[in-house]
Amino acid sequence: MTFIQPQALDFLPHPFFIATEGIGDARLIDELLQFRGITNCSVGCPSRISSKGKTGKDAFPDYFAAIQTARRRVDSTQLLGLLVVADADANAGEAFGAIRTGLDQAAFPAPDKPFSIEGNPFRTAVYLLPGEGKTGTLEHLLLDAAFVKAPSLQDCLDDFSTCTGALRSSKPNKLAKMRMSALAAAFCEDNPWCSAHTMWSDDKNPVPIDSPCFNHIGDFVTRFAS
Amino acid sequence: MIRSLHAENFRCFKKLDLYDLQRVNVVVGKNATGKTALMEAMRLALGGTPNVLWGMNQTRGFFANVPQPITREGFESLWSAYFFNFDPSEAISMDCADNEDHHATIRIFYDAQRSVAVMPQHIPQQQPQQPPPVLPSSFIPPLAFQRCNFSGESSTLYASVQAQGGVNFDSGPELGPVTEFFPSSAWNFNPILPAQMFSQLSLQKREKAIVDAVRDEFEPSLESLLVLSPSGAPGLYAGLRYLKEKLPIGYLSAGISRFVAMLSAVLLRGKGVVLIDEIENGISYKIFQPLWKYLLKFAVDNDTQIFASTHSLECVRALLPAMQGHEREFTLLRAERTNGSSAITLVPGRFLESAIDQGVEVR
Repeated sequence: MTFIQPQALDFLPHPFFIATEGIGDARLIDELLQFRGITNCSVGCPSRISSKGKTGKDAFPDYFAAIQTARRRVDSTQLLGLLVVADADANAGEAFGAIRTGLDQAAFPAPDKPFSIEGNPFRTAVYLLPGEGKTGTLEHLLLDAAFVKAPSLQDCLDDFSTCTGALRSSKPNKLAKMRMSALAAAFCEDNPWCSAHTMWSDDKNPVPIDSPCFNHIGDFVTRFAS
Repeated sequence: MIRSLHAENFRCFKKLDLYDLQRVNVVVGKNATGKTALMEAMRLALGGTPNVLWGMNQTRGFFANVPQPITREGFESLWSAYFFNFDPSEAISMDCADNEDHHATIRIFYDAQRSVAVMPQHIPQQQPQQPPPVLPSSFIPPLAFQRCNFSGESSTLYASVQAQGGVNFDSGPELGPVTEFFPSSAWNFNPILPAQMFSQLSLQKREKAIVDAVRDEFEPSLESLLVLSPSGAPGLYAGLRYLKEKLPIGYLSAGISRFVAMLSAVLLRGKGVVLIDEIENGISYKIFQPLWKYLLKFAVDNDTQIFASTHSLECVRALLPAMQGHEREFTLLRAERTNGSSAITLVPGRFLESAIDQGVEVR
């Protein structure tokens, strides 16, 4: 079972919605929901084929407005909460500010700070990846989980990053994405083109969903949806 | 411009609440959820006469003529489908408010106190030695239209049966701004309508905008549009560069004919309301974007309000270019049916634009 909503969002089948920045984040959240047996959340992310050409956080205002539209359907379940999951990138404060603005524009109540579940009866929250007190991206979190399972992979990827020159030329967040892609491609031998988004379907996916690295976000999602 | 409409016991609506209506109101929903009934409610709320209500029967393709003489059952059957759940014991009531919060109201009900005794029409053959039986007259209550227009003037009109069994519809002024109703092409579309409207525009020397629109969007070789009556009945004719004679526009394309009629109506019905059921009918998907742009421009320029229904996803998506920067001029009214009654949910233009852009299924 998947909790990911179709790109052409229709009605909302569950009382809680988790809006993520990209499909990779959505897949992680979907895996977490399944692993933890949480069945009252939908997951979705902005379309990549918007006519405005906006992606990621820039597309959040339109996507939040789209959720507002879908929740008005008579066949939608009454929406009780919206959790936004996005990358902290290099500046968590800026990332949170952008999300907050998007929530305001779409007439959703915005929390005062990230990692805080606010509002009653309608609750909103923002979770910034890779986790509280950190900067970075989804891929940082995924890599951490992979390294906990197989610590030698870190040296291996460091060597790869050095010998390819990526370590010198890439920004930290881009480098993390490259390392995660390389890792997924190496492990998922039947799907060497796979990504952080598609690797979850592969038996040899190097990131275990039961990793303790996912406890913080998993506990947060559980609290949000309870 | 109409800002709100509240109705009770009308067609599939036990209760209908429309508010924050905008310049262009796009109506969507599955079949049999009340899209057309919503337009009829608006038409009735602004019209408020027996003829308007009767005309809706004809638009839907029922009751081409009133049978005369008529029985009580026959008379009531003309109106029964207008009452929610076919129950005339609850009056139809409507309250419509404009931008300045002026209200027009109407209440439609059978007025038993004004019942008319109608003579029986068919006296059976009797045996010569028996006295003729005394058959009871049928008492038929008229359908009352208790109204108040936007200026606060009250009146009551009746659709009634006369003593001999004939039917009479009181005539009176409509309650609100001039309304034009384009039914779905599946029903009756008056072929003379485009000619009539274009003729009125020509008289006012305002037809150029329509000619230009047809030339730009459909037929670059269009030289002229003219109302002619070679056979006696007026018709709209197109002069094309490559044809030696002018062509009735319906022969050129039924879609162009409807396009002309819709745009003409929006130009002509300034300060009024144009209701268009299934706007996509007969129109190529490539024309949807310019159609919305013309409708919006003409509606804004002439202070006309539009209600247009559609089933077409392409038609909905084609709203985007017209909406961008003008989100506040639009709203989406989605008809849905639950527990035997229809309901309308409203999506403001600013959400609608984003939802369409994000590929949300808004219909």
